Amino acid sequence: MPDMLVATSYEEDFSVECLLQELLMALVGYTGDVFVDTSSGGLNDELLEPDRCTVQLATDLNWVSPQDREALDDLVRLGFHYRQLQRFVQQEQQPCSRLSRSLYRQALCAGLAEVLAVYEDEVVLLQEQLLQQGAGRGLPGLKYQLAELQMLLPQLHQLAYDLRRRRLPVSEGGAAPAAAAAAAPAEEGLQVPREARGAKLLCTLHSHRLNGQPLLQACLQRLLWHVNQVLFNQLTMWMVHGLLADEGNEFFIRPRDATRDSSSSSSSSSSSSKQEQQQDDTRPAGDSNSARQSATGAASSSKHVPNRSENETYKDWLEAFEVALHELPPGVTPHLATSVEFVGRAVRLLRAPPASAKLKQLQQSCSSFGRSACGSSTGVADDQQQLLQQQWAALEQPQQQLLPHEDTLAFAQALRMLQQQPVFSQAALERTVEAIRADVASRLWQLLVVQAGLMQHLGAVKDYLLLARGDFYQCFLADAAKLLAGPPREKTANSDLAVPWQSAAMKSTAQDDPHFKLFRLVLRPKPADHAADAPAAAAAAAAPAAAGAAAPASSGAKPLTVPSFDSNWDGMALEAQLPWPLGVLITPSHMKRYNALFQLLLRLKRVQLSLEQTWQELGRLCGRGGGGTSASDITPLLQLRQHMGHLVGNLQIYLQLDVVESNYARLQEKVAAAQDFEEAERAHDRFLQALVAQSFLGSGILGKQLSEVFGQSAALCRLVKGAREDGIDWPQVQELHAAFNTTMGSLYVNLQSKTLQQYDKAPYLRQLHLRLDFNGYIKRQNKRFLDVQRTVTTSYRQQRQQQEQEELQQGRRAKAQQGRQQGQQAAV
Amino acid sequence: MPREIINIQVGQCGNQVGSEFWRKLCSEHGISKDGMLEDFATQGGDRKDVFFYQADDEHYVPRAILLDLEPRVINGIQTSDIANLFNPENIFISKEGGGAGNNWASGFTQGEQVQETLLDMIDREAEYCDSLEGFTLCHSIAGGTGSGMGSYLLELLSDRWNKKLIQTYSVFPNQSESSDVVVQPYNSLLTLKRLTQNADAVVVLDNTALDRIAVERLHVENPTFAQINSLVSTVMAASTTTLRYPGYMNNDLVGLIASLIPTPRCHFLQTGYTPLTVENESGLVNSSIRKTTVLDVMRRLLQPKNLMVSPHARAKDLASSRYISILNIIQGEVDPSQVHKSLTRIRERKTANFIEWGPASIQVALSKKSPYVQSAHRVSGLMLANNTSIRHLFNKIMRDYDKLMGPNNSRRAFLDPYAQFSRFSDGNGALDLEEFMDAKDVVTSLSKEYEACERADYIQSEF
Repeated sequence: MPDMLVATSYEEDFSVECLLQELLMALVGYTGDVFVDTSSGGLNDELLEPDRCTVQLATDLNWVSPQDREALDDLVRLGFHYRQLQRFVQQEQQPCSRLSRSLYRQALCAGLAEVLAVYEDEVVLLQEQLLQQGAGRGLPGLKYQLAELQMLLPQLHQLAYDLRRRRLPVSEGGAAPAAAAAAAPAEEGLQVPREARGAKLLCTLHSHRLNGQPLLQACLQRLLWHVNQVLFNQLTMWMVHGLLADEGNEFFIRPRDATRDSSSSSSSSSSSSKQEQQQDDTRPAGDSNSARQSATGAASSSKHVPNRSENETYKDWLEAFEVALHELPPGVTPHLATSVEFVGRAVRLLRAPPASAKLKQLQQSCSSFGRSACGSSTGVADDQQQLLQQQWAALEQPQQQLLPHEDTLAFAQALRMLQQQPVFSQAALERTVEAIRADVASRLWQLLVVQAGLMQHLGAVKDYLLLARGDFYQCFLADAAKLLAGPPREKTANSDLAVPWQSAAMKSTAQDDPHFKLFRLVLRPKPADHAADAPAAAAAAAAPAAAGAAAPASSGAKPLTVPSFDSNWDGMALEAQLPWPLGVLITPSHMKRYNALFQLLLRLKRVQLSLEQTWQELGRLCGRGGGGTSASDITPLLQLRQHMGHLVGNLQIYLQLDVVESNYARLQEKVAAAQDFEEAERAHDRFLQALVAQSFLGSGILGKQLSEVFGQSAALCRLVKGAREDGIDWPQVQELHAAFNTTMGSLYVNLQSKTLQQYDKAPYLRQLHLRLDFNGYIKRQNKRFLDVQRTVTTSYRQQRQQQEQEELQQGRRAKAQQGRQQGQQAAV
Repeated sequence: MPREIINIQVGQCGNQVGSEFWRKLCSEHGISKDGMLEDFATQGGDRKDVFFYQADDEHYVPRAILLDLEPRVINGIQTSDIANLFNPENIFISKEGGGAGNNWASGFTQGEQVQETLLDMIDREAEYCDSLEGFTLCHSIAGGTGSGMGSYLLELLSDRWNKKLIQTYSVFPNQSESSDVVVQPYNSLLTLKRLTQNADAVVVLDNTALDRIAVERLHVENPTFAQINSLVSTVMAASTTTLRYPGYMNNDLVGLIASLIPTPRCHFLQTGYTPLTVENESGLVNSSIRKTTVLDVMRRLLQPKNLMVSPHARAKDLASSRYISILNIIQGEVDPSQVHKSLTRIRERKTANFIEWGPASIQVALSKKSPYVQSAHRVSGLMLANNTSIRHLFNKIMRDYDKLMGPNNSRRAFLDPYAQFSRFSDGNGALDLEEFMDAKDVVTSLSKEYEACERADYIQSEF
């Protein structure tokens, strides 16, 4: 201060030119007494608002003319912006920053540092000029030379400020900045997670890029490029190596189990290297990479890699990863994201098949794999490279390379090409991803269809789960008849079932079938709630094939209703142990639906067989060939049986022929022609969907009526069995007949009802209807039935009316009597 | 539980048709003429054990019993290329070797006399089975052995194995032309009684219709026995495909016939087969049919001219006939979705008249084709149908019988040979017509039953 006072006295000797050195120092952040920083200093981590410049020419330099002061203040504002940006960058790179770690922001900082370096160079240049030429061109010259940067830095500062506050210009508008700044320390804890990161950061950059200044555009373009490097690195890691390199949890593909994410940041941030910001490539450093892998938490395979079990690979495939749809960076459509996610999962699957999977060995792993995989990152230190190599070597089972090395290289190269493009192109990315997806999908198709024999196994699924191997089931049900007649023994039910299951295989065509041993019949416990059959089906069919974990809730199908037949044994379900990669196509949720169909078909078969047995018994009852005289006596029983048999038989034929076989033929065609896993997957999905829809498992009414028919058939069989000893219980026959007619009547009505017809089921309902009522008998019968009902109801109504009238009359009479009595009493 | 079936073939016709049938089965399963599995027949997926068992030396032995009262036909088989196929213990030729002389009574009586031998053979064969489902009997109803001994066998089987199914493939004689067997109406009627009372299902193969089909459909001028037998064996083999090449349903005999026969007495099934082929000296003669889609096959099966039973009635009477049930067994490369379309079409055109007193439909069973037999046709189909029109065949037999017997049994032509047997004599050498009267009653009521089935009110289910 005293110097200043002295200075004032030599007013004439001072000119603005004397301040230029000071100005240059201030421009690179070194303020002093001439250019004063009025902010509270570097203690506060908060970025200052760009609009409120705290650096200015000291007010007590009164000899500076207002015009010059304005010009100087204007220029020195650059220093303010520079300082703030520098602080932003430095904070990002501090090892123990309280900021959550974000690769995207780090990349952005690298970009910003680049801009700042340009700025610094400029300032140095200016200083040189100043030293060489003296005051030279003076203030206007400086102004001229810094004009471009004056356009840039404030905007960048604004960007940094926005990012830090995660306040997009639009979203929060003119919220009182002073108040925010004042309250900042208090809010600190809250503000940490509010920093822009990941896709949000990219979005902010994009929105800033949309401006009319070519220079600024170019600059932001460059920053975007920097950040996109991270995105591309992540894409490469994921799509080429199947790894999530996402320690900041910013990638749009996430491990589904998000509970362990936070654990990573603390351990990894300890040794974050500074070198990466200096490189164009912001490739993550090796040591943090390992942390990033563990960031994938439970889903990560890194720990289990050497010998993953089949269940782990299924888990990995089915439920370990998901697309974070709200985290999609600009230019990545949901469709693209799904493709990317698929590629990564597929690569994981293809590159790390479980140790138990005995697949054909394709070729020996290439020893140079590690190098090529990270060949893109030329700047990465050797030790990092080794580390990566080790990890990959662990992930890669050298003897089972399902994804050829050349493909991996090609993927990496394609992505690398894109990465190097100065401008991000959505179309190019989509093309590349699609190319990779197509390749991986065809490899996976190859693996499933050619190597693992998908079609044969789908055939086996049809044979056993859909009862196409009829003779086997016939044998099984005959052998198991005794067992099924009684209630199951709780503890040994499964092994009890295994006996006829195995013996039937010995006696039928299943004997020569290598796929038979993949299936196991089990009795699933009855659901607690007996009344509701729907959860029964769901519980009964819980996740048998793989993983043992519940299927993702996203399958979201409504519970399937399987008409019940035998409360003791309705829980019978099939468990399938399909060889390894097939579980990716036939998932637990698929198995659930297959089992619902299985249960329906098995019950139908049981009813049909018992009705056939009854046919034989009835034949014996009336003498062979009906030659006996009693034939006409049991005609009602015969007819009832015939009708039931007709219904059950035709329903089966409908299901097996019109539904299963027709759809299966289509599935076979589609899968064979697909050459692409995802198409095959879709075809299989559609197949099963069609099966479930066309067998009306979703329809509660039809299910209920079928249950009734099953029950009535069982009752008839019991009745006939008892008839040999005790004679025919005619009242019961009559009752059964009436009940069956009622059920058939309503079933028939339902088959044609509008509510059911409305769905896409209409054509299938008609198909079933055609089979059931080919000769129009039920229609006629039903008409009669309805007529009878109508007369019954009308006569009932008439009766009621009569009764009511009588009651009324009685009441009147009673009242009259009472009145009379009262009158008499009164008289007395 | 392979649900085995024992095939018993009786008499000249039965043995000829039967051996053709076994020949066919062998070629379909890839079994050589001496019972060894051919090297190429490794595909599996079929069930040989329904009709064959495997001997200790891996030979496949047919579950067949060959019976005859004269040695000619069976000797022929034993000197033919399939001589080693059959178990020699299962071959019975009467010691007298004189045959039955086209006399039902003789055949029946001779059967009675060798009851022990027959039972021994059948018992032994049944012991080879895990779970015997039933018997098929292959015979003709016109001659002496097939009809007489066959009738005796039916009574025997139905009595002794009352829980097993009995199905017959019964060849009905050619009634359109004068036959060398004048007494065939007698034999037919007497056999029909047993077929009605002692069998669960009868597949009627009418020689009249078979001849007609050979001439009209296959353009063979004078069909030989071998050609007709080949037709019959084709039908027999096709009707058992769902047992031998199992699919979803109809994998055992009861599953096959239960839905076809709603009332036990009406158990006479007619058949149709398309496209037919027949062998002659110059090789294979195909019918002119080239197009074989599911619809074509199903439609052709419903055409009367393809039916292997001739109508024997005026069109007016036939118009009232009704299908009680139909089962189509379709073999070959079939697009399953075509089946429904075909059904819709058939119903639209009302090609088949069904009964009105109960539910009825065309059931379709898709079955695999043998991979070892080449065929010119992609799809072939067999129809098993229970149609009331069969009563006209019974009526025709009864009319012929009446002609021989004369009004009020006055004529009694050619009955002397029958009187020699105790069943037809009153003990004093005079003729006893009791057996004939009874048989006629049974067949008459059977015919009436079928007639009743044509009415809508056959069964009134109202209680």
